[in-house]
Amino acid sequence: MKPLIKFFMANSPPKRRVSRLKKFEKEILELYAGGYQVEQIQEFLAANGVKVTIDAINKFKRNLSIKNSSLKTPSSEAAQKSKTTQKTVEELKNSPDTNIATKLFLQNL
Amino acid sequence: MLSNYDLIAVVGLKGGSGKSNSSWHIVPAVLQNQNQEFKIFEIDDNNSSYYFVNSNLITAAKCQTVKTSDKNIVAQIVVDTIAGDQKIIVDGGGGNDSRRAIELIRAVGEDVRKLWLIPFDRNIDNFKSALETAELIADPQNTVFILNGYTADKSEFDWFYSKNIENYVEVPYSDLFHFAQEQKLTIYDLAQISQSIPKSEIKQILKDKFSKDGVLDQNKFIAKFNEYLKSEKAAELLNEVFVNFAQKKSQNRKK
Repeated sequence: MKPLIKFFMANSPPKRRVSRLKKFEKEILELYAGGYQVEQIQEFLAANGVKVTIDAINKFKRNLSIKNSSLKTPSSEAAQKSKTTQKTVEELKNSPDTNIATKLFLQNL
Repeated sequence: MLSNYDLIAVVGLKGGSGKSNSSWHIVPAVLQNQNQEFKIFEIDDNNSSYYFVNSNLITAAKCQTVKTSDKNIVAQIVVDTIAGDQKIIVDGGGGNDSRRAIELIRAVGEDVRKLWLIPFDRNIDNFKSALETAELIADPQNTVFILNGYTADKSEFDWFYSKNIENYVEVPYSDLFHFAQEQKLTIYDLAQISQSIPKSEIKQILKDKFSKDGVLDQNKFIAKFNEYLKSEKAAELLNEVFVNFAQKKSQNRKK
């Protein structure tokens, strides 16, 4: 980042509203590309303390799609495989019987 | 060994000899392995060192920080021991707190069966301090030294073995204590990862996760898999510790 911009940013806070979903941009992309439904992404966001409507996620996703042309849905076979793995991981993450250490280990998977 | 006692006091006049390692990582794990409930009293006049906030083994409800000036500690330890059907672990603090902590624990009385654990490492000053602590306690029948951090080369502890002290338990050296602690976990919690997910399953999960268009990102896979292997090593280390505590085989070690 150029020093001039850094200086400006340090002294002038941004006034434009930034979507609460912005900081989950990468995760939303990843989940969507992994074959997850928007409802599931909504669940993921809620688990991370962000309560938003399906429409809001769809809108955010559409904007992302325009900006990021690499956003693709996976092939049906890959999606099925991914779902199976994700299901195991998600089940472990969400199970009350899973200890925190394991949940931390699985956090970014 | 621990099952014969109501109160396990981890003490030492010198800091940095492994008291916290024993109080928070080792003794709770051994008790948990024996399905024994426990509570930890940390005697510290400064701050609480409870930072295992991600631990399932040591929850906030299972530990309490007290000051040496607290007149009710002794009574509370007695009540918790008798009424709670649980073992009491006392982390005896360090530095100036230590002598006072030992006095407080002795004041708990004869009805509560006390085991004194005195950790030390290969540092000869720590060993001398451990001997001094044992003399101060003056209860050799119920005093056990913890040899913290032995490696494959046990000759590092030859000067200890030469003293012909019989009551000791060995705890291997490992950087996994620090690794677990960085994540606010105990080593027992760290070991639980490999107990929850079989190795074959985690391999498949990681392969799926880090593959794109059929190509595996080996660096990411290896980094995460190594993390998993640390959990396996933690489990192996604890198993060794459990055996050492249960059988006290170290006492019969042939020199």
